[in-house]
Amino acid sequence: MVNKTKDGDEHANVISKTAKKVIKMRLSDLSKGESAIIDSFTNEGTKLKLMEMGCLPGEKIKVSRHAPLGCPVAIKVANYTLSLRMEEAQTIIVVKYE
Amino acid sequence: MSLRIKVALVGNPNSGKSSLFNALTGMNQKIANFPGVTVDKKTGTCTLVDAQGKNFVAEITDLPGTYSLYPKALDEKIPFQVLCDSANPDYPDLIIVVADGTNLKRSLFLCSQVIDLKIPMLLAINMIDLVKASGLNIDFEKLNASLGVKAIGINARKNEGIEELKREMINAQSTVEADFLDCRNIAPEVVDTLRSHYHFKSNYAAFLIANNYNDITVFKNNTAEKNFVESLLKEKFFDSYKLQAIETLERYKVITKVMEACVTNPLLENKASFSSKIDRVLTHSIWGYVSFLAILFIMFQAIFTWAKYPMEFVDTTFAYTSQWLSGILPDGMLNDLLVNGVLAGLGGVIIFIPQIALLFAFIAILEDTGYMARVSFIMDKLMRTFGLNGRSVIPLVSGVACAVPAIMSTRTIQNWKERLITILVVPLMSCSARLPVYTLLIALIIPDKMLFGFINTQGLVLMLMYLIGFFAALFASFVLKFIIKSKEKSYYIMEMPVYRAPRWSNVLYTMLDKVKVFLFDAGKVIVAISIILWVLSSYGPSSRYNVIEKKYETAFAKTGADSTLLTQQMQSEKLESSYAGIMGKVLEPVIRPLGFDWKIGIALITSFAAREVFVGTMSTIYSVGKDNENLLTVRDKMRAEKNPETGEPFYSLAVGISLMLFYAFAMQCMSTLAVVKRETGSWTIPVIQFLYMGALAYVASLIAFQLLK
Repeated sequence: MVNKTKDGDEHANVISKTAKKVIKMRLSDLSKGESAIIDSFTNEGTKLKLMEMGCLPGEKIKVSRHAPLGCPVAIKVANYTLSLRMEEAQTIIVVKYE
Repeated sequence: MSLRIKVALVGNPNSGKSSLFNALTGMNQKIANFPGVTVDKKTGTCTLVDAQGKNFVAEITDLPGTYSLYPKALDEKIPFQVLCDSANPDYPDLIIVVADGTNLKRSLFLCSQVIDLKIPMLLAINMIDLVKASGLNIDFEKLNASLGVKAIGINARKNEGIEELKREMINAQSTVEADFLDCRNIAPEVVDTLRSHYHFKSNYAAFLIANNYNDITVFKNNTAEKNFVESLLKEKFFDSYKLQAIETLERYKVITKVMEACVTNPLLENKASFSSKIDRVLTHSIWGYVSFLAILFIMFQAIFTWAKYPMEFVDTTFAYTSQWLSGILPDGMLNDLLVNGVLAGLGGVIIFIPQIALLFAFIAILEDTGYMARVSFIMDKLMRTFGLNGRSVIPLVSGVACAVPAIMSTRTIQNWKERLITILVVPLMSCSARLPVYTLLIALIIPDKMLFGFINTQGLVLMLMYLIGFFAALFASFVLKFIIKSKEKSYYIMEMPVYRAPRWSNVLYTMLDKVKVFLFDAGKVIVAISIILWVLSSYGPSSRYNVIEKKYETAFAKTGADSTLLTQQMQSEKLESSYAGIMGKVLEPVIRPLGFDWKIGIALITSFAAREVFVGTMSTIYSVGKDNENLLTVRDKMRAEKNPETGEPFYSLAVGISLMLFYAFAMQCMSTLAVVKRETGSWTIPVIQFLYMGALAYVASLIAFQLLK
């Protein structure tokens, strides 16, 4: 059987040991140029779609830019650029370390 | 006799799958719809020769791009249905997974799913030139060994590696033995029961079907089978979301290991940062819109000016052919049917080709370069307010030229609800066929004056008509947003591909495909309706027709009779007595509140062929020669028309405005309806569209006329 761990817990632990400050937040709250690590998802459907496209817990992401009206947002993940709407970005919990 | 094998191409969007398809099939390809859905199905053939010189014919199907075999959108259901259900008519003998070499990890996810289906397969790693240029090194031997699948590096744009791929297509007849990930472990009882019950070819096919049984024919159409699966899943606490998530994570764990073993230096920053520099301009809050407007401007300038010449050519060729044909054929019904029914109908179809070809050439370039994803990115929020999609902008703007290619271009909108709304509102945009109607009516009712010394009133009204169309489209979509319910979950999550040069062969194939689809699918309906319209407007009850013909026979016989004038008068009288004329009179009580008489009624019916026919019908009704069709003469005749009750000019401001509004809103275009039927798969949507636009037109004209009269 597959060993189940809660998404991202493992990674959050790794980070908390090396970084001084760990902030959990939504991807939608990051501003342009900010990086973070995917921690978990709050919507099951979006989660599956994003994971299939390589947005896995533990993957590093960077906000490339927002569309002129603030939505959608373009992020850099797994070596390519992905665009998603704000309400979808809200379902991605990320860990920011400073 | 050569052996035939069925080959399916699968891959992520932007993986270069269509380039490979074009490279393999060349001109031996055709385009249709997948059964039951309006998703493009491209099929083609390719001849393979083995070492002994024996020929194989590979029938290649290009499946819609997807990131996973789990369907998330309408078009992603196709790869799942074709590859998992061995009863599907397109179930392949061989699968070629096309991977984007610069995004290998993500591509391997889909590849790993396909491996577990146990169908013979090959992995084509595309864009191998970019992979090499970026310093990435793929160890193909190790990759072959760890996947159990033959991987071939190709550059589909330049035809590199295609011959090797063709050779391997003959050899690849066996399936991978080991599972990439054995999904039986995730849900053993469900997988085993389903496999023994339905003889699915692999554990993974059984597992995928357990997750998506509603999309498989056996379960969709058979309640007993459906109940069996449902109760099985319930009994075993099969939690689809949870199990899919486990599967995805497990697959990526293995893929990460494979990547570490087979690929060195897996970081590719240069290419993307080049795109990022372009994006700084093209998605900028000011320059982004400025450049989009500039691109649109160039596009539509080109469509209008370049399409004009071939359109005029089609027009004159058909006029010449009609003349020639009616000359060599004996006078009579057959002559009339061929020339004014069939030939006129064909001409009405072919005239659209230049615009369709040009619009799709531009759209192919925009898609190919990656710019379309940016259009969507900068327009999405604005368009979403109205229930539309970022990609609805191109169809809406194209609608100003012609709704036919515009509606065909809505296929780039993946979300079904947003695509449907776009299709429904596009015909409200003022297309070029309305222009002759507006020009005639504006000249009739709006005085040619200057406002403030520099604004021409006629020009101003014309612009207002275009704006009315545009705002009506936005308003209608805003309303439809609340009416149309969608079962489909809507995601916007999309890759922004890196900028690349367009593939000219792909542009050419897109143009050809769209022209073919229009000619053979919509064309049939258009020709059929034009023949019906021709019958309606050239035949009437024979008792009335005989009277007219006798009357003019004697008139013609008189010495010194002006035969041209008489012919015009006879045609006018015949039209009045034709079935269309009778319908126009029947219609009169209904359209009287809008200020229209039976003459306009006839024009409304004949305009169904195309809106600009209004002018031609008016010419016939007012006995103006059709041959030297002169806008001024029709205008003067219409201006002289008096209202029989008041004695005032019939075409008052109220009637003119009411009529223009009617033409602005009503769905009077059979070509558009035929294309909507083709794009939505049934007559339901075209009928709804016809009714809602008709109602809108009626109400708008009624209010305008009653207020202004």
